[in-house]
Amino acid sequence: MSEKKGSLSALVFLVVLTSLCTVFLSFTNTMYQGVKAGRQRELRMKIWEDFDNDIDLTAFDREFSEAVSVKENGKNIYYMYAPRHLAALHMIGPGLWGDIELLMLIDYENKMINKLYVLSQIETPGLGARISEQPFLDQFSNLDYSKTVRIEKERSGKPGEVDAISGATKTSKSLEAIINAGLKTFASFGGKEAKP
Amino acid sequence: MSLALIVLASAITNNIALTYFLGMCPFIAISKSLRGAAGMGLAVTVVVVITTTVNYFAYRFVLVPLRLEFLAFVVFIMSIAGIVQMLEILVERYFPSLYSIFGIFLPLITVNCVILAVSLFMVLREYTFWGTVAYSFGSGLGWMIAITAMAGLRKHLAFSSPVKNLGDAGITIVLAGLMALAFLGFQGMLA
Amino acid sequence: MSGNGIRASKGFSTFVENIWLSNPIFVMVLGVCSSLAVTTKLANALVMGISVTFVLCISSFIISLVRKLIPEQVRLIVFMLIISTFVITVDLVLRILVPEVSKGLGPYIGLIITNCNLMGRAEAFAIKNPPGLSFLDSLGTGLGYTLVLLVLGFLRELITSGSLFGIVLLRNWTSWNLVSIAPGAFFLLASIIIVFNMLKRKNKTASVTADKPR
Repeated sequence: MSEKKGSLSALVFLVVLTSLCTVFLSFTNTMYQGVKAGRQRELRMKIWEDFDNDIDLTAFDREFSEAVSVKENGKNIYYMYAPRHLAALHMIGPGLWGDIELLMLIDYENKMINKLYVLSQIETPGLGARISEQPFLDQFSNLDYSKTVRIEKERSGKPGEVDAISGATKTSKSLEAIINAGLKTFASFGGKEAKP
Repeated sequence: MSLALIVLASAITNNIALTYFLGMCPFIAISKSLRGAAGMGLAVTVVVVITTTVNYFAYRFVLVPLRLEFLAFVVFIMSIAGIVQMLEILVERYFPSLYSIFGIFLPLITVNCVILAVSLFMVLREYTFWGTVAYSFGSGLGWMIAITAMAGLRKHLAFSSPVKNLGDAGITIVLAGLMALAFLGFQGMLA
Repeated sequence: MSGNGIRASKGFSTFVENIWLSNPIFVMVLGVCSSLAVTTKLANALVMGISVTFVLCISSFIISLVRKLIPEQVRLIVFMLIISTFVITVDLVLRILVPEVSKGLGPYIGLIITNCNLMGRAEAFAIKNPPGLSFLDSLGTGLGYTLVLLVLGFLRELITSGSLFGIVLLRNWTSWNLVSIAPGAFFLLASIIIVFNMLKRKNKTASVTADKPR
């Protein structure tokens, strides 16, 4: 009898504690979501500038939403700017240690990558982390992506190839996979449907 | 990526203990005897597959639709604690012979980082269902290989006298380093 | 009664002892996983150390505060619930305050939950002792842990890239990438343990009084 009472009070204690924790966490999470929205707006401004527009702070949100069509797919977000056939692909995918976050600007009419930014990554310092270095990223400027993008140790001279970083096979493969998956999804709804 | 490749990659080339440093506490504490190490390894493998699969469903079909991803840590660790407890009772009741092999290690497993880490990595890498099963099995297997090999190595320490100031834990860490160096050799094996 | 004085001095000695004599990593070998995984950069090591210390202190304090209410048979689950709540809080706060470092810690911030030190302190100390004392005990453990993380982070970032906190200090430094991956990390930790034990032995012979059984 007393055992039953003991387990009942244990259950009540757990339920109360769990609810308290959940309420507390929901509150913290709401705060974080606010900050996150602010950061996303900053990223949109960066993209807007990369589309070669000036930022008018008062009208930015309206201008952006009128001119750019936004599509989401999982963690990836695709921004399409029809007037100049430009698009920005905000892609997140797994690397060796954690997420690699990329922003890639493409010209989808000519199937060219204009620029690649690594927004964040936590690959091995000195090895995989070198994907953030400018000489590596510069290779992606004006890269033809009409086939697939390949990050190779030994290049064969075909279009769409980039030199890999030695000693960082897994990171190179991950990066390649993120970019190609992003481009593929973009092609599946991007190229066809332009905003009027 | 085929499932076999996921298993091999997580067990050998990116071994969870020797590349990601996970599950180090029991790795150092329980690798004194070969029998204990193998029992612990087995228990981890069984538990990691079950919990990661359960957590996969919890995450995909409960947390994501309800936009409660931020509660993932609590949900994962609670389901791990619950499953471990249940497993302990079941194994003790119905498989007493199995219980004598790895049952005693079950209570220790809840705070083994491997178990939680595999669930967290599963979310991070967005595996499919079968990918999740393969990845968790490979990780458990890899950890088991590492701790069993370590126990085998430590048996030989009885016949040698390492630097005194290194202590028991220190020499184990040196051995782990040597093993990690050896496992680095597998890196180029799978593209 | 000098109870207060005794309690204060006991708190202080627990505090000091946890930092040095029973340092969580060197002596107890607890929580090695994250100490090796996040110390490739000094900034990450610092933030990780602070986070662990914070979660340790606050969870110990709260557990100790409600220790008479916690039902015996579900105490481990209660510990975990409290610890994981604060880990999530820390995770969200880091995302707000230091997004770069937060991304750098990746899944390892979540793994604070299974850092053996947290459950260890809760079970071994906080459940039996008053809040103030538990707080000090955890602060000592946390600072001892942070100390090791900082030493490791300092050495690893300096040796890997010749920089600290991302600022390049040594120009034309040949990167020793081995230190940033697993084998080097293990060897480095082992070398630090040797140095620690040498210092400790020297200390012990100097003052025998400081050593008391736990």
